[in-house]
Amino acid sequence: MKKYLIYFILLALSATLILSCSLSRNNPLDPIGNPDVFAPPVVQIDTLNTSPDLIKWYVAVTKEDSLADGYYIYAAFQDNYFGTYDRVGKNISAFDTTFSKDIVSHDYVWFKITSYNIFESDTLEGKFSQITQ
Amino acid sequence: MKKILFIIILFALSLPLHAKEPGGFDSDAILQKNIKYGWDNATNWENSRKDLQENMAVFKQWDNKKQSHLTNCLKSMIAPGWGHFSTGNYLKGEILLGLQVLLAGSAYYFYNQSQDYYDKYKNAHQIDEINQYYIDANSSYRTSGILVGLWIIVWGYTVLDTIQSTENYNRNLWFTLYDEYMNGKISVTAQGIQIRF
Repeated sequence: MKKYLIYFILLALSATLILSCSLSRNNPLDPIGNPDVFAPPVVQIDTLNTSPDLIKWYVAVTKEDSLADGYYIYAAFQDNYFGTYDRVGKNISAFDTTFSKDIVSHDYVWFKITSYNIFESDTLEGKFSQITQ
Repeated sequence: MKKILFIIILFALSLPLHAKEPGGFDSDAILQKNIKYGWDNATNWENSRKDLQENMAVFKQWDNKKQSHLTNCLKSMIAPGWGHFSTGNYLKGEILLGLQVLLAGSAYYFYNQSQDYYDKYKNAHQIDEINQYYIDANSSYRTSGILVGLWIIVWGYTVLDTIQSTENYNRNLWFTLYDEYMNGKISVTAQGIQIRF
């Protein structure tokens, strides 16, 4: 009986060891795994904007070094509100916070924006803004 | 005086003849000792000897046909259920084999899934995707780990249970051989009942 108990304790220990393992966060762009990387600022859509052809946004920046290096615009067709968004238009610089819808196809209805930062030639995109028309 | 001396010497010389032999056979003493085995008389003693002879005859066969615990355990370690199949415990062997195949297969499936998500995580450039793929990869990885842990426990149980299964097999083998031996002694034929001594 004692032998069986020892055997089961060993098995339980091995099972615990296996369960305690987890994958390492080794993506160089992962801010949790790499302390040299920080998450790009979150983009907020300016809802007070009255121009229908223009999208305006702003970012809440708390530190100077957390400024975005630029912005990407994503757009989707009418039926794709929850579906696939295409990255459209040219890259928008860090100092520009507006986008004119006229430069893309009029079939695009839904838009969302992300900021990005460049870390050693790799681009890390931040969280998506809320979807706007 | 000489006569008296002669009688004394003769008496002294005859003393060993009256003494009890130290290493002699004392059946009473032996019977006394054997009461603890239930041999309080010679018939019981004889019956017990007959039983022992029968047991020894069966034991020789049993010793040749019995299965080794170690061999069956090794079989179960290599291929789950093999030890149980060897002992004729097919149902339990099939259940344990099925369970282990299911657990190992599921563990492999979740491990594979976790590696797919992990590859996506490593190649992701967007913070939400990075977080989501890592959570998905880790979740599948942990599920796989839990299944591996359960598989180890079932594997261990299978190996341990092989000992019990072999024990049962050997016990049943003993009774079967004993019955065969006893039935072999008394055989009912067309000519009548034959008793072999």
